[in-house]
Amino acid sequence: MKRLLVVVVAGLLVAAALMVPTPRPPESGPLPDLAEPRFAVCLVEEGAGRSSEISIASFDAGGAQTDLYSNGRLVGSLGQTIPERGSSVIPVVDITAVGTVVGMVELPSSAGGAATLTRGTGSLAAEGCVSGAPTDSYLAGGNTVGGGDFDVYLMNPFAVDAAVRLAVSSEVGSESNSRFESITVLARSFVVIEMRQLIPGREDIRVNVETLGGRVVSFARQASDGLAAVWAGSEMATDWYLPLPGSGEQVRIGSPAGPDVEYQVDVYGESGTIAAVLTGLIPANGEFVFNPADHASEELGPVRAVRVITNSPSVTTLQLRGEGRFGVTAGATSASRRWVAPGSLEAPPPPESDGESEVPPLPAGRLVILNPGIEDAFVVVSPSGPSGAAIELTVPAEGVAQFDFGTADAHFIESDMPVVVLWVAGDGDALSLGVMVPGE
Amino acid sequence: MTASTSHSAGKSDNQGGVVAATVRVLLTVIADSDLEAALAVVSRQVYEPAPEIVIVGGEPPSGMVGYPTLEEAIADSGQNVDYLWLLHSDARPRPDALAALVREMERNEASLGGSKLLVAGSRDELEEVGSATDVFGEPYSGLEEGEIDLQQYDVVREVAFVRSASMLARRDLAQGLRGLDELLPPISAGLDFSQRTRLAGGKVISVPSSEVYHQRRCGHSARGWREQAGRLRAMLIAYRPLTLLWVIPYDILVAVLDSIANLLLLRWRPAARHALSWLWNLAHLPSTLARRGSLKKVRVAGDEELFRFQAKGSVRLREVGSELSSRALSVFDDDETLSTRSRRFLGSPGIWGAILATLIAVIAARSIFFSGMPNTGFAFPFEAPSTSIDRWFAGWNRAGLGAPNPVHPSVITTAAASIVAFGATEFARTFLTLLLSVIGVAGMGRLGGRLGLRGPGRYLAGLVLLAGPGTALLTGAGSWLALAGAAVLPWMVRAVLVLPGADTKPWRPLGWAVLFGVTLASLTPLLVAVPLLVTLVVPTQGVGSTRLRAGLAGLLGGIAAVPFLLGNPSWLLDSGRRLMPVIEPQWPILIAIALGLTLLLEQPWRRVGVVGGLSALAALVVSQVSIGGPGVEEAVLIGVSFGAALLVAVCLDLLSRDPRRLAVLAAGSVVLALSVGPFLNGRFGLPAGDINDELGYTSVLVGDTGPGRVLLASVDRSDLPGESRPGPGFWYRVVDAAPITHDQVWLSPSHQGDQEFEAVLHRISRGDELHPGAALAEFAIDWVVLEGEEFRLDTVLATQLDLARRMFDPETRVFENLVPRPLAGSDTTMWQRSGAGFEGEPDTQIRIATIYDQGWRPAPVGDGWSVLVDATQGEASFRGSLLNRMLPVLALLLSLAAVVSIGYGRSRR
Repeated sequence: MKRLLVVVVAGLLVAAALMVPTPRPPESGPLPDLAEPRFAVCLVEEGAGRSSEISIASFDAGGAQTDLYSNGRLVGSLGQTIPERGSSVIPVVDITAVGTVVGMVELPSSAGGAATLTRGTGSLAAEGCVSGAPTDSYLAGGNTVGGGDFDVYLMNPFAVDAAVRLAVSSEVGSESNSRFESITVLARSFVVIEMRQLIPGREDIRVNVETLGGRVVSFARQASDGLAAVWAGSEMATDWYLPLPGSGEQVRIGSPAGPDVEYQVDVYGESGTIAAVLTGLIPANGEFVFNPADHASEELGPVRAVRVITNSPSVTTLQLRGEGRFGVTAGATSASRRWVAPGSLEAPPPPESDGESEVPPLPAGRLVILNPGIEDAFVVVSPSGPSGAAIELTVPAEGVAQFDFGTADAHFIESDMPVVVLWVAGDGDALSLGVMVPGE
Repeated sequence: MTASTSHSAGKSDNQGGVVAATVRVLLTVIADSDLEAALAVVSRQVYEPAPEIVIVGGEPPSGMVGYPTLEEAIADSGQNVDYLWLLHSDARPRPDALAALVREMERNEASLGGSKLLVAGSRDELEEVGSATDVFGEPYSGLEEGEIDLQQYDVVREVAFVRSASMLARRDLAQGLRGLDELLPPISAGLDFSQRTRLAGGKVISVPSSEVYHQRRCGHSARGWREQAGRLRAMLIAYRPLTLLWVIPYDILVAVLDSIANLLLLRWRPAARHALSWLWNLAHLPSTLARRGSLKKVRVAGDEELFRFQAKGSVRLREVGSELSSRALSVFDDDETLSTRSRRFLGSPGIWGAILATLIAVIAARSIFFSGMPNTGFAFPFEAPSTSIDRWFAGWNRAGLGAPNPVHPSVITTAAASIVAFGATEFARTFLTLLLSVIGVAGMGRLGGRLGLRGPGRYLAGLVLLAGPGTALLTGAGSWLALAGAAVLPWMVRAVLVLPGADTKPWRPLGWAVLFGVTLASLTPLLVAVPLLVTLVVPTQGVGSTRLRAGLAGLLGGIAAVPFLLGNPSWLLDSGRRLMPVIEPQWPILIAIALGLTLLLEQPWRRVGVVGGLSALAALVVSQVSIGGPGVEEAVLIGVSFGAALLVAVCLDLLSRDPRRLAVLAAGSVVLALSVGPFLNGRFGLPAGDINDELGYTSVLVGDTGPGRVLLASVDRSDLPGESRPGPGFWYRVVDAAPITHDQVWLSPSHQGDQEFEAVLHRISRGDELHPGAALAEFAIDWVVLEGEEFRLDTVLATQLDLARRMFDPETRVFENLVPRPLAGSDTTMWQRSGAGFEGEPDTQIRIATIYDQGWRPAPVGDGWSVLVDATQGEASFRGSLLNRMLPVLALLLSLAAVVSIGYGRSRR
């Protein structure tokens, strides 16, 4: 009897051991969402005929810190307090005069941005500083023909050394050079790849910066005919918006990696929108270039903006070239209700009056605002600095509005509908996409 | 004067025409001895001419001559006396004893002769037949305890010394040497006199035909400290300076080793004897030097003459070593086949099981022999013993960011082991680990023996205990304490399972139960309840109440763990802290099969098998239920192995051709084989790795702020050393700069500082902290080490400004804090760890980046979560609460009481 009892108890225990579910091992806490970056990496040039200033603009009040790094060292630093919807313009020469350096701007919050304006002899280059540090980025629109200098800047303001490789292609196909492989960018340093030295005589250079370790922020600088443009590398996306400043624009759709890319181009005119004015296939590492002005029509009027849709990630770049004008910037990957457009411009002196009629003052620059939505957008533009009160304007659905501004350190753009903002200096001397501000 | 002078003048006839010498008897009065009886016996000596008897050191009977000292009696002996018979009044010589002495002395031309001493009142039990000594004068007679005189030693021979209880010395020699040293007790006096005789050119012989019964009232033991001091004095008098140059350090070394070995045998007196011996000799150094001077005048032989009759090495060490080895062997040898040199030794299956199990354990430790102990998981080096003791007595717990909560009680065990190893902590850890395997195997064997098993299986079952289905999971995770707890458990169960009639003194089993209880509680606290449970399920055999008392006494030993458990209740209750290893599903089936087969056996195998099998299965089920913290998990998993080990002990107990036995044997063998598998990885199942080696740079590359802390993080908890905390999307823990030590294994409950630290980690992992180094510097984090596969922290730390990546280790991602802050210090001063506290240059106030508690001193002030202390004294330390200080003291007192009760019980036996 006792033995039977033992057998029964043992059987029950074995059954329990086999049937009791295996306990789940303890788990770590939930992974939080990544915060929007509160810093911006800038390409700063000071000396050798160039002079930069850094503009900082923020919806939120708080401290801002600007550090300049070179050769692994902090070479200059400036701390400031930015008021709510305030801005600050820092002539780099006030901090240090050290040539090219990596600028790291710590913003009061993620609702802000920074940009650099670099003035050379007869040239002006502007580009928003890059918030965050993408793993891969793409630069298009360079050339080394004639006296053209196309330099790629790999900026690493961080405390961790980075390693990258460059996938460079041009009209002759993929470029091969050992200098493009395993480039080490030490912490708090930068590396400049001068393409003219490596691949001279190329008309259309495209560079895909692939990160192997650490992080870098890439910029490109193109100088030719006494003009210069600076633009930042872009991450890939499938949807691109490009407000156009006026004339002389060229749009480049690049397929930096992976398979062939199918694309579709929609154009926004003064009188409406035409979808799919261009469609086609871009081979891997290839590029498609078109002039938006070619698609103007009586029905549409001049083309004011472009939207590019691709079936796989691509990069779209806007290039502006004209008489005494040169600017390059990447498109916007999405629309937003809030933007800041840091960039300090001073209105040129007004032309002399003939005494009969009042001559309107010349604008310092222009904001081009695209409303890609299907409802009109009510937009408020608030300049920071001496240029005065906020301006309210309505941007029609699937339409574009332009706003000329006078002397201002920065602009804050708020809209009830998502819009895309392009900042243009003078009459297109330089251009830069505004800095999209996440959230409300 | 030399000892070779002829003495034939004045001799008379004696015993059949032999010309007899004149003898004077110097009868030394011994306290409590019967002088009249002694006189009567001496007067019956068959010797002509009848010897003159004088009394030394006592009141002489009327008509007899008396002397206060032996020296005076010797000096007053006239030229007509040939020999002096130095005799104690507690000696009873046979009638022919003197004649035999004189005869053999004459025949061998000896200067000093000693009688064969037999224990008075015994059946011719031998006390002494002349002795050899070692170089330190330690007597070595070669006699067994209680050895009977069967004339086996009846041969006249030269010896190192003879006892002063009955010795015949040439009168002229005795006068030349000024007799016995009055300061020395009997044995060492004889040694001293014998040595001086030999150095003066005399021959010292033992005369077995001269038989003397000795009542041993003069202090027969050579173990007293006075005798020891006397031997040292004899050595200092006899040896030449060159010999003393090496003998004295050698003697000191022997004294130290002897003291330690005896302490291991729970004897403190030898150490005290050595100390007193040296003190006494220092106090009497002038007279020793005077005697050396006297000897110099008559010395004709070198020290080599003494060495001829000395045993090699140290007799004392040999004896204590023999006892230690005997004790060690007796651990396996409950049949006492070894100690009794029984012929049954080779036929003893238990011994074979023990040898086989030990061999397997040795193989299982091969990597430890060659590469040392692993430093990973939950197995880390011991801290310095003084620091461990400080922590044990409510000192600061530095695990993580530190905490006032008491450390795991095992630090007292590690401290004790390290002290025994003279502070060599790594040697102590390695040796203790190896020892634990032997202890576990032996313990299971001895427990099996107590349960009525006699075969080899009970020792082999020790391997199942150490490496069975539950323990293997813990050791596989790196739990050294699980190995230790499993090894001690069977001893405690055995201590509680008192055999009927085995111990009539109740305090002895209680003492053992308490002692093992304290030990077990310090290793794996909850296991102290297991023996009590066993008493409830094992039949009582009429000693139920005794066993219950022993079980409760063992439970009382749990007091050693009470401070830790009170301070860390979540260690018992929080299932989130468990390791959650999963027992493979084949184990319950295998155990059930073995259990079922043991039901076919007869008693007592069936009973033990059922207890073991059901215990294993029950513990296995409980282990699968996620209730209780890591303490419960640890105890239950070891319980699974313990039950399985009992079952295997039964299965492998009898080797027979009986089909039932064969089936049981097969089942047990399968369980044993599957258990031993992971055990044979070379480290007793502990994982490989040395994180202290990997983190070596953290203690080497220190800047002005000194060594701080290291933040380790991984998505896989097992990548991290010791216990870790759940962070945002990963596991993390903070350790002090390498080496990580045993005391840091378990973390304390979360305090304010821990919560603030987690908030910082949350910000960093969101990528919302551009200066993580500065944020972590508040917690004295100097290094961030990311282990395992890449995760969120890898991403966010790629874009920050003050943690520099260092390529020290290809397996991990190492970041150095570029803006470190000291663990303890101010803007101008940096303090360093000193034991469980800190010390440094005096300052007005310093900040210690550790959890604030009022126990810090001097003058602690909270600085947020951290603590500021007054730094004017140049040191800061922590004192825990009164309760946390008193409970360890209580545990210690309890242990001492247990040792005393064991010792008392033993001596009474």
